Amino acid sequence: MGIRPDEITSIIKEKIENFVPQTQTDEVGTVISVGDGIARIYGLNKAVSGELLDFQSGVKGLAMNLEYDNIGCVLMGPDTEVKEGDSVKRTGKVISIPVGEALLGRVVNPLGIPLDGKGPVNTTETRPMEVVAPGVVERQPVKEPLQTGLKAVDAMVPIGKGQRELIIGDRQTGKTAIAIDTIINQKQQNEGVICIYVAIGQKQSTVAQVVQTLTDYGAMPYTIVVSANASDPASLLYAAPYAGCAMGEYFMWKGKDVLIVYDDLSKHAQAYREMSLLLRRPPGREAYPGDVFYLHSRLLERACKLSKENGGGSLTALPIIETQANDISAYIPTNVISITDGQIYLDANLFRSGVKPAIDVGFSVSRVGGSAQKKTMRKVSGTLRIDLAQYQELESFAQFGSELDKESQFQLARGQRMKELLKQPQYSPMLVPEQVLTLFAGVRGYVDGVSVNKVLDYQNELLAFVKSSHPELLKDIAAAGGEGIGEDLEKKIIAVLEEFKPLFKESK
Amino acid sequence: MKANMSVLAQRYAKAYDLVAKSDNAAAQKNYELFKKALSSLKPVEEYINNPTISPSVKLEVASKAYDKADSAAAFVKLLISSGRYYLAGEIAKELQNLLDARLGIKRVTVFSAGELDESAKRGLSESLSQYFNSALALDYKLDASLLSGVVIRCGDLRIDASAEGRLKQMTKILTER
Repeated sequence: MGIRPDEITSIIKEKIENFVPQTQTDEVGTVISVGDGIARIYGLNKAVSGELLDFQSGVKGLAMNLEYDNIGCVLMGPDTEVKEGDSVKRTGKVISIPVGEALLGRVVNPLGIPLDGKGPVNTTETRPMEVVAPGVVERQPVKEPLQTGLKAVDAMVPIGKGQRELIIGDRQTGKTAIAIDTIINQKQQNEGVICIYVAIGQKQSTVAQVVQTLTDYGAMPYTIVVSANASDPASLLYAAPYAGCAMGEYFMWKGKDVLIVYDDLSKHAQAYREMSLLLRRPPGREAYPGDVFYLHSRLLERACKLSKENGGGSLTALPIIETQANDISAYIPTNVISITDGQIYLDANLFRSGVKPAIDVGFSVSRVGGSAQKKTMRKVSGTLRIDLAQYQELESFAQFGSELDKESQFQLARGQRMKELLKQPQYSPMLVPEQVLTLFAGVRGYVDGVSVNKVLDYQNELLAFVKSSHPELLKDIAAAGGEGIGEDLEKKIIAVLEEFKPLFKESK
Repeated sequence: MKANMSVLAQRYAKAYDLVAKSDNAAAQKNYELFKKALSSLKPVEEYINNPTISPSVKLEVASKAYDKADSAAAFVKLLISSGRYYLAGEIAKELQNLLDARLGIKRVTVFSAGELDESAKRGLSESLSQYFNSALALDYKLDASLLSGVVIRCGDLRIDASAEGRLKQMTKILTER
């Protein structure tokens, strides 16, 4: 597109003609010291906590510490642009984030500034970054499922819309993969769920990879990526989850369902620790400040399912916590575990032994998702958890090579196959009817005769067979979601499974 | 750190100001004496602030430079013996603030690009007294970067009615997305 000088000239002329000079009245303070992303300001006696301050160079700052004779302000931009003696203006506003539909498909920083090179984001509304979470009256209980598309999660640790489910585990155990799969799955679920992925303190290359994956799987049109990278100041890392949450709340209050992933809150806590120590707030356990619990509780409390009167929208939060050497009893993990409505615990040993997603059934729990689970799924997954737990117990005995009774051998064989059946490759989320059918075959013993290493082949061929020969069965299972598997449907499923039994050849 | 200095200076200033109790005239006199003492000690300021010299020698030098026996002399002695003389400038500023508060005066600085004539000054003084609803102590300073118009500073408040400020506003409007 060519540049038209006439048009630009007329726009400038119009702006100059419409310009009404005004006498500006500001409250101004002076920078007395600056360093490590923190500025101390003298003056501004009327500034309020959390107020956005405007520095002479254009850098913005957040008033955090209101002290006797100075203000401790965290800079939201490079501290090299702020000098001692610079003037600082009050804005009279708490920090606000641009929100709206225009953000969908975009990669922005926590202040809403685009990072994807696709031009300005044309939003018209803003929302304060920090708001008080909706109260009891404004909410309703979590009762609708949010499908992740992962058999292991949807069957054993179901997540409801408005729930806060923690994904916790060591590095390289597939935490982000679960979150990304859940975002990708929303496309085939077709329920209009808006997704927000908040990257906190990650490498730019990692974020670029996530964005590329989401683009490749067609998930970007309904997704916003909020990115505060490792090279950004701690203040931006601190603001990122609140900014993402504010963007999500916009859609939630419009009656939509929103899924937000905070990847990850360990780095968020570290950024807040850095800021707090530089602001000279007293350090507590692991040098985190005293209010580090409140830091996450006020964020995660904003996830909720709104009542019908408020539009019925929801904000489901999937915070991620990275543990060190499987230590879930460290300060931040225990804090976030206690705030959330359950956790998906990913085990490094399981991951290394090829179980992906590497969900540890014993440690994973969903406190409210059960009531949101589809009845069809509840029926097939009813005893799955216990079966797997029993299997894990027996597995340790079996390793010693002791002779086992028939019942135990049966449990062991079933457990091995169920464990295999719950494996799922990355970026291939499954729809609920497919999950139900697969797990039904497992719990009803149709996989018992299949070799362990052929279980996933069995699943794939079964699904291909059903899709080509009995596509109505998947529709029937989907339609029965609310009532559960009735006698008729059960008979139909069994008939199809019996029909498929002789067709599956392991040698293929 | 400058911030800590001002906290300390405020405490010393408050204590010195309290010597006059509720007598505003005495407070003003004490302030003027302190200013006078500071100007008398100006030539030996560096010597007094030198930490390698013992306080007794410093006191002797100071008593020769300012050979009075008033409240300001006693206060200066206290500052020197406690090693806080480096705060004297800050204390003077704080004392002025306290005195202004006693007398109900607001200190206003008017920056202008060129020298203002008497009628302009009178007009400004009247309208500012009305705006602040208080007695004012006006101070006029020159700042060529303003191009024309004035900038008024009173504490944290800044009223910008300069050409430079308006050009900045226009720049903002023309460059905003």
